[in-house]
Amino acid sequence: MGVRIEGLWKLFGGHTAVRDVSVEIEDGEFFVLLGPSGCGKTTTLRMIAGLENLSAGRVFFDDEDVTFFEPRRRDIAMVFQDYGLYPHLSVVDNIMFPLKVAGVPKDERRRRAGEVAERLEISSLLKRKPPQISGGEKQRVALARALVRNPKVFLMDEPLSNLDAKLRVSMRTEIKRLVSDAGITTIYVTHDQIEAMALATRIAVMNQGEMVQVGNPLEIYDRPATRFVASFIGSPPMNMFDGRLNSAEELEVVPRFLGEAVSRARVRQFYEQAPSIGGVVVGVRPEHLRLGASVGASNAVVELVEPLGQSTNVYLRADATPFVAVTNRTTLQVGDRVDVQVDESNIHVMDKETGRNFAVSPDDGLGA
Amino acid sequence: MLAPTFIVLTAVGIYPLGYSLWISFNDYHPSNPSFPQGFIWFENYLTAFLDGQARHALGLTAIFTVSSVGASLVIGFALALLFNQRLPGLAIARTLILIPMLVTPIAVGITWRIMFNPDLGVINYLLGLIGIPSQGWLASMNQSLLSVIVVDVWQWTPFMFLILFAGVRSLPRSPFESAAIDGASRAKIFFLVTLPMMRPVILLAVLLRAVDSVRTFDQIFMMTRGGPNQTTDLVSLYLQRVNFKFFDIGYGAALSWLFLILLMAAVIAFIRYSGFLRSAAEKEAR
Amino acid sequence: MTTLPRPSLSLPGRRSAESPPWGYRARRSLKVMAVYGMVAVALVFFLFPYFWMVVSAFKSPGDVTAYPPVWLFEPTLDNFRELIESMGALSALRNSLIVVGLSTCLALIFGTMAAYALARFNIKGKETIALEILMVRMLPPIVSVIPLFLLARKFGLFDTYWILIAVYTLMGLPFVVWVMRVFVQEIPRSIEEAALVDGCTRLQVLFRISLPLMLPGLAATVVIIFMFAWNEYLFATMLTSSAAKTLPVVAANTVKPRGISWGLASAVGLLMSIPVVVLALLAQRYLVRGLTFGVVKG
Repeated sequence: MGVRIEGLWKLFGGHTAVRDVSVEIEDGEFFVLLGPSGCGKTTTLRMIAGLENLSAGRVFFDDEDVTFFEPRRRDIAMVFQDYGLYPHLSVVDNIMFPLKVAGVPKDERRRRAGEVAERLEISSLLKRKPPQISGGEKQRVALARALVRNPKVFLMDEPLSNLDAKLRVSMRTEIKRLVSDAGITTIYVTHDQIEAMALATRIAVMNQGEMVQVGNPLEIYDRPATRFVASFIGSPPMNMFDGRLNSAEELEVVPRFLGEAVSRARVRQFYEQAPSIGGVVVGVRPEHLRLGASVGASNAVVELVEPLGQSTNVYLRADATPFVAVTNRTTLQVGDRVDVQVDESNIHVMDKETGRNFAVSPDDGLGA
Repeated sequence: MLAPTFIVLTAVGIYPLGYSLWISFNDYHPSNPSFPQGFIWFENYLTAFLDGQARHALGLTAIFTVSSVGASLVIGFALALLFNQRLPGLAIARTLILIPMLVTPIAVGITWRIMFNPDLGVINYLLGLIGIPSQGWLASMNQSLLSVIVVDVWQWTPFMFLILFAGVRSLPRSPFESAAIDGASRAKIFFLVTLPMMRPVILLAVLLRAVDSVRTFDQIFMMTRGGPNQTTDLVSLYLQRVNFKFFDIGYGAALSWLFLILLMAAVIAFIRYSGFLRSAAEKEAR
Repeated sequence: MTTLPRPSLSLPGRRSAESPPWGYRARRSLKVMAVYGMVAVALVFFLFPYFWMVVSAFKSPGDVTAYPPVWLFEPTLDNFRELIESMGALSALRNSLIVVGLSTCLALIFGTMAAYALARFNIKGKETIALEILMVRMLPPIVSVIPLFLLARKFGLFDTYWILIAVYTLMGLPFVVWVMRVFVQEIPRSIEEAALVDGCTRLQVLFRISLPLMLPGLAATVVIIFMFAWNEYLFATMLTSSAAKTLPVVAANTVKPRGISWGLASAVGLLMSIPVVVLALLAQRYLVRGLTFGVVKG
């Protein structure tokens, strides 16, 4: 089932938690709301669930207006950050609860709960109570309870954030498999960009109550619409430098090799998009910087090397400005001089005032 | 560090109790030396088993406790849910509502006796305003027990409320949201989620309240002294009469001990049945 | 409203306004009104008797028994004057303060010491201890008042402060021990150990670190044991006659064989309620924990 929200607002006292959010989510999509804490993503999800009153706006499931439906009439399932299990009920009773209140006969309840438990490999836990099982197991029970009733929409509110790092990764793949098997529209909230990239068919990045960009994971990664999106997605984060677009000809930025890498034609493109001559922020992702062995020309010095195994973070300084590059294994050592190069297509130039990325055309990725 | 507590418990707690146990095996009339005195084995206890008056008092105490605790539980729970709304002004109202449990029981008894006065009392006056005829209240044999129960409910519902409200406030939010999303109606959420999750707090509140309710004395002593015609003659009031009106101290002690044993049995049964101390201890261990 | 520069896109047809175009506030007002209505009913029921007591305390003998009851009247302090002049309220107040104050302090000191010891050692059978303490609380006072009366007579303690102080200390102890034990357990051992490492002696740890952390617990227990002792009637009336008579006895004395003096009774009730109400409101946050032996957090 498709979900459409139109002009959603949420005010808490004088504070605006969600500001005019609209998006259309298609049937069967895995849609991720991504943003830092306090950006309004959870509030948006809770308004879709009917757990939070709207200050303004409309929520549609397919073409039905459910804005004023109580949660129980929306036919949705939700997995909470703290799982929301019923502490007084055994695992099997927890899983059967939605069926019980729906009036499903006891035999069928048991059968369906058994099936789901089988699928999530928690059959051995059925008799226990939530306080007696581990976090990962609780997570599975919560998923089982959501899956058991074949809801029209799945809502998940940071479901993996209380798990340890290893478990988080394995549950992540499991969730993706389960949900795509079931083919149910899913809206998933997280602050973890890697989780979002791994799971989503589309991501909506939120900041300070607003939806800043909607698009598929690679679109968001390659063509961040704003400085916020550019800096939020990616690890280590995008290198950002202050610069100026002095004229249609010249991009001035320190370190200088960045400005030199951009052709005149490209600068002209940026210049035409800029509302006025002025300050810009120049960004480049660490993995887009190529470190050449210094033959004669060198423009940077190695300050720190972090060998991580599959990749290496190299901290450099050029023209008295620090930045980071990601490379394969390297023999570089502190103090080495290197030649750093970059393709002009990988250089982002963003408006210092509004944050808009001139490297991305305005209609890009904001079709929602 | 335990010594002072131990000394006080022994001197003021255990020693008098032992003394009382000793007296209960004696015929003892300190104010009337002409009565027979001395050790009489279990005669006092045998008398107690045949004492219709004592059984009557026990029955009344049971009715009084069950109805008072039951009513204050229902009202207290309703108030706890009502005050759980986050609205301006409710915090002040919540504080004000605690006042009854802070007022001296003696004063509570006297004040209600004044208000219950059939001829000059404000209650009959207010009821008259909405067309209800004057009632006898404490003076009526049919209404006296009900009246003292009303007073007990009035004074101690705030206590119930206070504990249940703390319980409601400490409930996690997500199971309720889960239930709402899982399709449960308000009534179903209450019976399938709220009540079971509140069970430990409810049991604790009921136990504390019941233990206090069975020994209620001051208010009723001020209001009725057990009358009219012993319709409010609870065990505590009957004991008072045996001791201080008939000065049959040995018999009074025996009755006290029987009552105490019954009470302990009831409390232990309740705790075993509910198992809540165990769960509280478990929680502590974690 | 936000004045910080927000990264946003100026796109045709998608302008963020500063406030929503319309709201849904009205939908909730009916429910809100219902809540306030029920709260008002509850307040009337639970406050009217206290209100009536306060009002009656300031009525003259004629007004207080007037029928229909008078709502507007000339307030008078005659009741309070008579309490002091002919009922011995002042000396009873002094007795109450001495007896209740001393017993509260003693119970607090002894009980906290015991609680600290109990909490810092792992004692088996917590359920049994809980049960025993409940039993002490459950004990109908009428059971122990007779032997105490006889003992007081025997040892010449009848109608003295000492006997009441002893009894009230005993009444308070189980509360203090149980509640404070819970509070002590909540102080992480690592804090005390850190202080030891930092060079405190054991005694300094207790006074500089542990005691300040126990203050909320002490507040909770003080209110409760003060309240029980302050309001206690049966022991007070049985174990004293005149010299050590406390306020509840004075209150009960306003009920005379030929009837109650309504104004006097209300005045003494009002007077007695003031310290308890003030204390309880001050320590309101901790009241629940105290009343439930520390089990339920307020």
